[in-house]
Amino acid sequence: MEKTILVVDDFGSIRNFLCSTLNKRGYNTLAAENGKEALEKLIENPSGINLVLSDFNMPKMDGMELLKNIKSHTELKEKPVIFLTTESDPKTMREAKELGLSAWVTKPYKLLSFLSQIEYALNNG
Amino acid sequence: MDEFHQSFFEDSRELLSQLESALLSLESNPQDKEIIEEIFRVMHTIKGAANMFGFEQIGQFTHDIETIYDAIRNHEIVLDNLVLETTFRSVDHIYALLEDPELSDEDNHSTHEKLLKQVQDIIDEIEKSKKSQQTTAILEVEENEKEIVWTYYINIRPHEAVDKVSGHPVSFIIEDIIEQGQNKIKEHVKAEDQNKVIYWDIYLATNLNEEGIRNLFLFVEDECQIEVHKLVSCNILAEEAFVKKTEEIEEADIPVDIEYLQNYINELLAEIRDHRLHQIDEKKDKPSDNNKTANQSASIRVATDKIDRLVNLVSELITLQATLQSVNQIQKLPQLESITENLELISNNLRDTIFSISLLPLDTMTVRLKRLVRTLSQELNKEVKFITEGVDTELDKNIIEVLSDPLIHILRNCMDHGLETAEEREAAGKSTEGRITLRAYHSGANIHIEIEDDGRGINIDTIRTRAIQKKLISSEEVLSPEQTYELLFKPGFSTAEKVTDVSGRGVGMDVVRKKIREVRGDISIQSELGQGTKMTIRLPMSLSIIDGLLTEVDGSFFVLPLNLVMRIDEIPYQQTNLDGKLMKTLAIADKQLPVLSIRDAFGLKESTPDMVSVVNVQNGEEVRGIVVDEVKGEIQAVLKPLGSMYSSQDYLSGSTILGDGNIAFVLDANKLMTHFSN
Repeated sequence: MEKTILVVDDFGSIRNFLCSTLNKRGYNTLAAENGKEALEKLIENPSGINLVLSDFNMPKMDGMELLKNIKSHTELKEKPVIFLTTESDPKTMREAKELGLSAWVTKPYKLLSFLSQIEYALNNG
Repeated sequence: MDEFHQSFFEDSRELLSQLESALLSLESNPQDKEIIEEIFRVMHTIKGAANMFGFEQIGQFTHDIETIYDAIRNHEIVLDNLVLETTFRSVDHIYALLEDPELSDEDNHSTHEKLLKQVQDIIDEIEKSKKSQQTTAILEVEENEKEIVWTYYINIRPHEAVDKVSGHPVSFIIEDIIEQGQNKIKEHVKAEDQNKVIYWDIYLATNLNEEGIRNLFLFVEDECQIEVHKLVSCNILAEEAFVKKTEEIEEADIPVDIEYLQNYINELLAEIRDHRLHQIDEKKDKPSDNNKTANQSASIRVATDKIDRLVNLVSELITLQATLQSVNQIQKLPQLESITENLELISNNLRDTIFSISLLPLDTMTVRLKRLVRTLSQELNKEVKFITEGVDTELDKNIIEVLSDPLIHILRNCMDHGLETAEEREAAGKSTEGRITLRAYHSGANIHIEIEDDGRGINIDTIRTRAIQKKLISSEEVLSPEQTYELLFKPGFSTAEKVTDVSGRGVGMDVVRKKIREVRGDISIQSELGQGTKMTIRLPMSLSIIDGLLTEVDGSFFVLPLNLVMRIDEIPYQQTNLDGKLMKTLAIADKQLPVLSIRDAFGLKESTPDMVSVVNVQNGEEVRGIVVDEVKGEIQAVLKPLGSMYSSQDYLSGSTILGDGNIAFVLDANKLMTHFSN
């Protein structure tokens, strides 16, 4: 069964690029422009999304808010969340980890390690 | 990758242009938090994307501006005129960087250097004011620590040995460490299994502080034991002697003794005091790649309704130009003649240019189709090779939009019914892997898209039986293979023996054809039993202007699509007037030609001409004749839709206004034939 990854980024070209990269590697993708839209998609179809790959800085609802919302939602809290961001503030990273973030990948990423982090998160929650 | 670069440039420009208007209002209202926040966010977004796509200069530059606005929003500095001015220039410069990311242009390069310095000055100012604000000594020490390169010894010992190929997160954190500065990493693997790593010894020279290093391991700290030791406040890895020493330790396979190492380093440093601390800067000048930037064509985003409006205006212009031409034919002024000719040239050129704007390569949708085939091949457990040819062929974007559903449906059919299972294929002596080819090419003024599979082909008898069952034909009717395939397009026809998940979804080939016909295209089927099936979709290149042949019948005007016209014969009217039937077969130039007289079909009988013209048109694989009174010449017909009253007459593509103000009907020759032969 193909895994579906929800790609959340407010910047269109990054979003498309990520989706296409992931598609090429055999994942299904869904896209959302911000945390709010992502959360709506998750609630709408909780079983159809296996992993959330989100930017950190976004309008409307940022990555951290999205993470909090996912991890406090009974149906969604098991979904692995990965942040893909230029941010690397240790305090924020620690906070995110304590909230249940699976991995923090900084842009620019290395494709192979990025993909293995996704695969690892998909398999190990 | 290039298309993503292009879209990154476009998206970034869009963000910048939004920013520009915000910046203008910032000038009058420098305290506006929202605008400051927006500038920060735009810079942050562009930085992230630029780094990701490998545009270092853009990434670095936007990073610096981001730093400034981060300080402004944290009230560390005040947004004064200098900052504002620098911001304005920087935004301009980012535009330039988006055109020339490698700074191959001299001017861009010097602007870059100049601005970078200005920006750095502001950042230095921020640092200074930060430091003066920090009164406690502890904080100052930490702050200073950031600037200095330390060499660390790091030992990472996973609780369980890590398989190198398993993709355990620890292994990619090792990769992250490599990025942090000069390093030396030694994996200690199990003697019995070289792929299992027991622990890593890492020497790293970096300006990260200890917390920063520990942070790299944040997401694996539960799974590993991590030791970080400061060795010395310089990049000792730059010293060959030190590297040799670490190798000695490795070879001896003894645990690293920190104290021993530190003592050794102190001795070493004393020895080489003269030249130390100089190889920290690892940045190397990258060779600039001029060819790459030269090839990138600049593009802008335009709202589609603007293009539609432009298309309409050009259409009007062409009508007007036709009017001028007809005036010219009456007036015969030599000066007017050359103006008319030039105007015709320019407006034709304009028409072609404007239409090419709304053209998109078919490629834009093939990714989706590829994925569909891939998913279906897994679902149906059929091995398939999906081949695309000529997908750079361009089509009107409106046509591409309409085309998507029919193509998906056809592919589903190919996969589900067309292709056999691997066992069936093997039994039939074919390779187990099926092939589906999507091929697009120009054919005259049309685009053809073929979807061909090498599956079981269509069984004519099965269709026939089904059609009789469904009372679509009587059991006596004799049909050619082509006519039989046509039955597939009848509403309610489905040959699937059982409804499957993949195809039988209630949408039949009739809907496919209807959709394609909506954009003045058509679809036909060719098939060979056991060999495969080919669906050919014929599409017009553009939706709103066609090159036509203007004809006259009894004072009324009709336009036939020029691309279908094969030849024109002139014959006496009497020859066409045989027996009152609409469709007749005439012997013209020793050939039997089925013809339709427009005069009869439309009931135009006011006058009787002596001679009539038979326009030979391509009708699928055959040639048919359309009889008109007189051929007036070629025309660029700007299609105007007909009202809903005409919706049942699908053989009328639309109407067009002629140069002299008369109205002509634009005929769809193929549909006209089909309509009147039934």
